[in-house]
Amino acid sequence: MQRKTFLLGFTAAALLATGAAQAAVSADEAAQLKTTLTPLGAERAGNKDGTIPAWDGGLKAAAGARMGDLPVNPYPADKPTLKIDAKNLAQHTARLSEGTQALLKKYPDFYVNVYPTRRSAAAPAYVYDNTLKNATRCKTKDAGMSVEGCFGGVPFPIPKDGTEVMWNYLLRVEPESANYGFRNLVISADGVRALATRNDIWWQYPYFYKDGSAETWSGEYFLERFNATEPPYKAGESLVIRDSIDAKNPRQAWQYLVGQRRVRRAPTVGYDTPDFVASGANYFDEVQGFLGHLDRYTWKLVGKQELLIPYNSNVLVTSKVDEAFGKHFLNPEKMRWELHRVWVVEATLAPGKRHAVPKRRFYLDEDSWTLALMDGYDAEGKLWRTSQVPSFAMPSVPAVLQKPAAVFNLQAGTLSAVQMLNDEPFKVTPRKAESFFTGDAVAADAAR
Amino acid sequence: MNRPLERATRVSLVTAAILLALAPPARAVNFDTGDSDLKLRWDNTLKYGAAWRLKEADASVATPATQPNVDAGDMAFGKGLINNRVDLLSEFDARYQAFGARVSGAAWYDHVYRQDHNDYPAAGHPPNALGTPNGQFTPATRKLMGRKAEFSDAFVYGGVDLGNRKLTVRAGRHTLLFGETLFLGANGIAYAQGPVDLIKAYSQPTAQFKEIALPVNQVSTTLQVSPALSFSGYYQLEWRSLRLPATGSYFSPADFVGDGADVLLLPTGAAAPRSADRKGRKGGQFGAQVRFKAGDVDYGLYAAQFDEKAPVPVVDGTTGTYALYYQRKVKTFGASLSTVVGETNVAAEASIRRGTPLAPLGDLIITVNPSADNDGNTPYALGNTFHANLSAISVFAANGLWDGASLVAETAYNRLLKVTRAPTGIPGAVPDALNTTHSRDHLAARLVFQPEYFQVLPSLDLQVPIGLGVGIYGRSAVFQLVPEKGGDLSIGLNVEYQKLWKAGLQYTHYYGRGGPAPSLDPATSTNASYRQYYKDRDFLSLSVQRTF
Repeated sequence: MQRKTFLLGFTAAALLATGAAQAAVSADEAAQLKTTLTPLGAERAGNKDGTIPAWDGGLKAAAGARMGDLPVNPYPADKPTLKIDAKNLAQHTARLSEGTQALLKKYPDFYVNVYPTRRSAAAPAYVYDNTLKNATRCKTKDAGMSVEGCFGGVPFPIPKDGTEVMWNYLLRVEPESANYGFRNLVISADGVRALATRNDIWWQYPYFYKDGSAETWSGEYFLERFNATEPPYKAGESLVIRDSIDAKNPRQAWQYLVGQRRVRRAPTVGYDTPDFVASGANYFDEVQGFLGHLDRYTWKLVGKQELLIPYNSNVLVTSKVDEAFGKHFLNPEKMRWELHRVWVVEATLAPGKRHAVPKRRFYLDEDSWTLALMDGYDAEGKLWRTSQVPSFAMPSVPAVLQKPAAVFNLQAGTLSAVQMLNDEPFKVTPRKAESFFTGDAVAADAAR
Repeated sequence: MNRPLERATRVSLVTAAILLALAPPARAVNFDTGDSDLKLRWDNTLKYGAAWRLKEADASVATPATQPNVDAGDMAFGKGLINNRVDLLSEFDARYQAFGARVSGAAWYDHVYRQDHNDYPAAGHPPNALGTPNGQFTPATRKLMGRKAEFSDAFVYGGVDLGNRKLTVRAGRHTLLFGETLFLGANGIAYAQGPVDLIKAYSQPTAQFKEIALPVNQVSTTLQVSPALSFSGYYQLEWRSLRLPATGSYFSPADFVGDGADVLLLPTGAAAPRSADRKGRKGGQFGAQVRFKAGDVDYGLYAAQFDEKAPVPVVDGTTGTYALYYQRKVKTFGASLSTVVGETNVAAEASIRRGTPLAPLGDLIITVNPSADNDGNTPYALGNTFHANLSAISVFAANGLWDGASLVAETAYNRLLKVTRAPTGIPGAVPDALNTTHSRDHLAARLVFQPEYFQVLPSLDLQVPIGLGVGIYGRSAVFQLVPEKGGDLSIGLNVEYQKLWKAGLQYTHYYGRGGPAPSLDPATSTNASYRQYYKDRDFLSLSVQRTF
């Protein structure tokens, strides 16, 4: 069963980005995006076993019920083909991440329901066009900590190193603007589930403005503003975050503290700062799987492999909050695992930098550049944390999107479920004025 | 306090526990209106709080030979219970798209202040209040400290999009704060916008600023021009003073200020009754700000006119009465910046006040000017002053000592630039208005460092707030933020259970050279005091709360 298919291998030395801008690929190589590769850079063909089908254009429509704009189940006829639990784990380790294996060993009632692989990833036509342009014009700079010449599509559809893969992740396909409610729930070691917070959130992605261009783009790739509604003593608290490709100044954040009636520039809302939105149960950069700048780590592209990952998780994401959870984990009966080719990127602490999690392993879906799984290791190199990102198909964009993340602390036995969409409609919305995403706007709108 | 009261505490503790425990598991009431644009919510926070005095009254603070006006609160309480109260905060919000309304109210009951007698000796001391025998709380004290309900916020708001610009307006009783100050807002632009409730600030150490701010009737508006530029302005239709602890209450700094105060004992032995307050105006307080962003820095420019919120006690030598004066038409201009340096939010603010009274809290003015007022013909000195605050907020990642931690620190500086009015007294009889003991500069600091521990037990998070206030330098002529070379130190233990229950235990210690506020210093012939007048008032407080 040891059948890891490493299609790409690079020595670590070649991956260490230099200060100079990294060259894009040639026009000839980029032309593969129309032939052997999908328009976003995945392998178009299926695998030899036939367990991964060829990409057929992705999911552009889905029938049936919706939560907001999100189809509840785009593949209602699919049934699990395999159930992996602690008992048969040994037969399937080659296709399970270390974190998934640890959960199977730790919780006897946890299991992985494997469904047929559905390559639902797609993007609007303008994103495909921009991705093709990016292939030959987009470069990393500032030692990989910034990019130039990119806009409106995957920046490095044919990536050459770990940093480029991570930029593909940070600049993955999103709608221009979206609005939803989310809940953060904390499950303690004894299995008690507590609502840490509920918020209304607005996202905007200037990188994907339909009328934008590489020349006019400000470099800010997302704008985010959210407003707490629960618990009551936090109601009205707001955070505005604007992330940019500016290596020196990658994040600007403002916080409205209802207790203070004041907006302040927020300090270090990122990296390994305990996420005060979730009452410290996870780190800020574990939100949505991984959120924020790349500068704390050195990024090594390990290669590509076939892995069982949470995918097309619309059922889990749209189920009622009480049905979305098992005792210590997301409800395995609602979770959908599929075999996909993933990029494996290993992050180790960059020289002179500090992070509570000195080593991480990222598993990113080749089709959508979404993060599926992330394992975190402590200073002794022991597996400490693992995150599951149940991405979901959003055919009206079309895109595969990721918002919720389940962050397991394997040593403490806790689960922080971040930005869960359960019982909350997810809506793709018209663009808002960018001044909506400012501290002053929050102050002007704050009623509490 | 005496034994029956201790029994009462136990009863109240049990009652509060039962009340809290019986409450339904629901959190905020969110009404399902069937219309996703219409949102209604009603939150009720029930809080039980108790506090205990840890030291007996100290004669040097309470009953100095030269100052008989500072003992009513200090001596009303022996060691033991000083608060035994239940607080209810009720908040109702309604919102339809960009328009909404908010009404909130607070109600409280403190059994300590509802008793017939306190520990102040019934005989052997001059009267603390004219209508109430010593050893009892005045009716106004019983009401304000013991049982009261009031509206806080009551306003409507709305916003309209004007292309890429947005205009928001709110009208009614609401709180608005300009500038970048945190704890030491009295030294900043924020002082112009509104008063605070010092009773809650003292008696509920865990109270949030929203509970301490006293909203005023006003109209305010913001025009968001672009992500980098906005304008705001307000006009106030109401003036409210700082809410000082009522006379005879534990934190009352002097017997002649606060609700229920009606007499000031003169050094001659005569009792000066209180005459009408010289208040601020219903109109005429207004301000504006421009906020803009350049690079990684947020800037602000401010201008405001306000009427003082803190009283200046003035004894009128011609009538033998005293009154509390609130100076009108103080003008302030300032600028601020806020940015992130490394991993710390750093903000600075500087402002100038023109026509501000030069009589810091703790000063007592004696006048023989029969036509003194709180406008141009003041009995106290006026001047122009410079104010600066520098503050920082830092969040720390986990290490071996904590799972997370935050540091909020602020220093404040003020300087007397120019004395523009200095009424003179009568040599040998009435001191000059401007006290002679002030220094030109004053520097103070306040910080809270708070390590946090998550999931100490399942569903239980812990915080250990450590607070420090320091009067680093000087005797301010305008506003003494922390006593000279004194201050306060507090350490607390806050517990949060299942994100529903919050409980806190806090110990507060006051340090520095003790003395009354104000004191009569025969050597300098001035009443101003920069001593620690809470020197003997260390206390321990406990609170339990939950929101429904």
